[in-house]
Amino acid sequence: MMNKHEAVRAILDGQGADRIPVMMNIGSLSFVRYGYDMFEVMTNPEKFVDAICGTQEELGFDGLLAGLMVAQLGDVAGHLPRPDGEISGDGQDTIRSVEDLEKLKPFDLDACMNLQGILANIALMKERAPEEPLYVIILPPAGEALNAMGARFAFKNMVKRPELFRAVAEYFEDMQYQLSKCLWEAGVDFLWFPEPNFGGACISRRAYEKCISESNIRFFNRLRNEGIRFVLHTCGPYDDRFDLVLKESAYAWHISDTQTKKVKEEYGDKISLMGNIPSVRIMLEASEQEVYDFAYQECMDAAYDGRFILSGDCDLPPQTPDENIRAAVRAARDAEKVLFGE
Amino acid sequence: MQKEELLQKLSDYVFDMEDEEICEVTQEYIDAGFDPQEGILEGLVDGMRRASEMYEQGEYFVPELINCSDAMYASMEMLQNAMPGSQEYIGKAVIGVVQGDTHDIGKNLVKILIETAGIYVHDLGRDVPASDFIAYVRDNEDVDLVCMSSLMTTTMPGMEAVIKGLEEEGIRDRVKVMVGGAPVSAGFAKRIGADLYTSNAIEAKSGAVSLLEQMR
Repeated sequence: MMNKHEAVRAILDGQGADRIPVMMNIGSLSFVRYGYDMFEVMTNPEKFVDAICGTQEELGFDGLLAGLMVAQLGDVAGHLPRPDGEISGDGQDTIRSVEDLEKLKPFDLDACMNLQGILANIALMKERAPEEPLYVIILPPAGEALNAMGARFAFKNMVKRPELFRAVAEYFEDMQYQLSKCLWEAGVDFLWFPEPNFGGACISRRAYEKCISESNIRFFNRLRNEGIRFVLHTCGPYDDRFDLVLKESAYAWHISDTQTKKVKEEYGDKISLMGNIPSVRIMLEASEQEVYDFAYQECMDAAYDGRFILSGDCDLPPQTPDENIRAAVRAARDAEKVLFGE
Repeated sequence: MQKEELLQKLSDYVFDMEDEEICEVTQEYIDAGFDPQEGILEGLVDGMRRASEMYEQGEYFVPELINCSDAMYASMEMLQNAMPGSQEYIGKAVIGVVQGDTHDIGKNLVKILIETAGIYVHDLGRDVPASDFIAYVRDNEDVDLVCMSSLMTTTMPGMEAVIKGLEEEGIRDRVKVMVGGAPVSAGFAKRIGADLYTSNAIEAKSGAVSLLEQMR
């Protein structure tokens, strides 16, 4: 049987694994479980690793979240004011024009505290759990653009001035690329890019094509060219635009708000999948048996070719019962036996 | 232009997201001495209603609704200033995104649409501590609805904290509680003791009106 690193690599490379990794997004759940607040874990690698590794060991799923790369916007735009005149601190809602981009500070990898913290997490995790695959959450440039412009202003200009949105996304491309490269070189198994604002719950297919596609294709191609493996999380309804997302050359899609079987049938020969147990409706609210049944069916629908990672469709809520997480793991192990033998 | 023609233009400019042109036609409407309240209801709200229908049909999305609402508010401010007396509302709501969550687009859409139903909305903003919701209800006896949203599975429990806080203060029965947001479900809403879950802003508008009717 492949080890966990080999399995994840085989899945992302489209070759197929002989096991079904169960990788849950359990950041907040772990921090709450260990009594840490967000500030504590973001500034203290020992606490971060303690919570994430401890939860993984207790519940038996695979893989470890090594960090959330979220504060770099504050490094370059934190000194700028929001529209109400207050200095933002986090850089969100600060960019209103192409001229505003000239006011940004140059990005400095060495001075990025968020990055340095994650690098420390990675080193600690490799020591404590060398067998576990690691991943880091980081936004694509278009996601950074949306934060920098503020969601309302960004959405407005996807209609009124799409060229402004595209210019801001392009500006942040180098920063996200440098960070991605650095994290990859530190030894993560993959980067995980969420796109919660670009699905059918928020923007049209036309707006996606006009404002997001070009940036994603360019950025993700750069990562591909460096051999950096990544999973794209199509967060929200993407059924009407999976064909566009396919052009973005992801190694796998982490899907939500759709039917795994349907996506597998339509795109399974072209892309590996991750997902798609509803985090609230099933993982939080359903019974242990219902979780098992749902998770088992997901595996049977999508893992027959060895190209599937079982996961929730979103972060697991902190109150998710332990027995439900264990049931999902058990379902994957049982499905493995059926699909790949003992 | 005739009144009907101007009302149609107000509606069309909202629907077509023309936030500059609408100001010119609004001024023309006011200068002609037509009823500002009628301009809001028959012109602006009608345009927003049409935009909402397009949203339901999957033709308009969040960016389009934001642009429509910007056009509506640009005109509404002018019409409200031209009104002789104060506007009448069918109810009062307090709205906000719960603590830890800064995703406020959905909340803003709900605010826009329930305002168009004639409900006064006090907006607490985003990342709102439970205590702020509770204090607002405690200090404002005319509040009918508490509307909360969360886009993250990790911040949803904040809604339950608000409801528990209202119960502890003995003011839960004074208000109806509505919840929404991408990860929220009807089951979750029921479990935390909310009165209503709606899955989108359009449903929120009709749901808010229904709750107010139940309270009357």
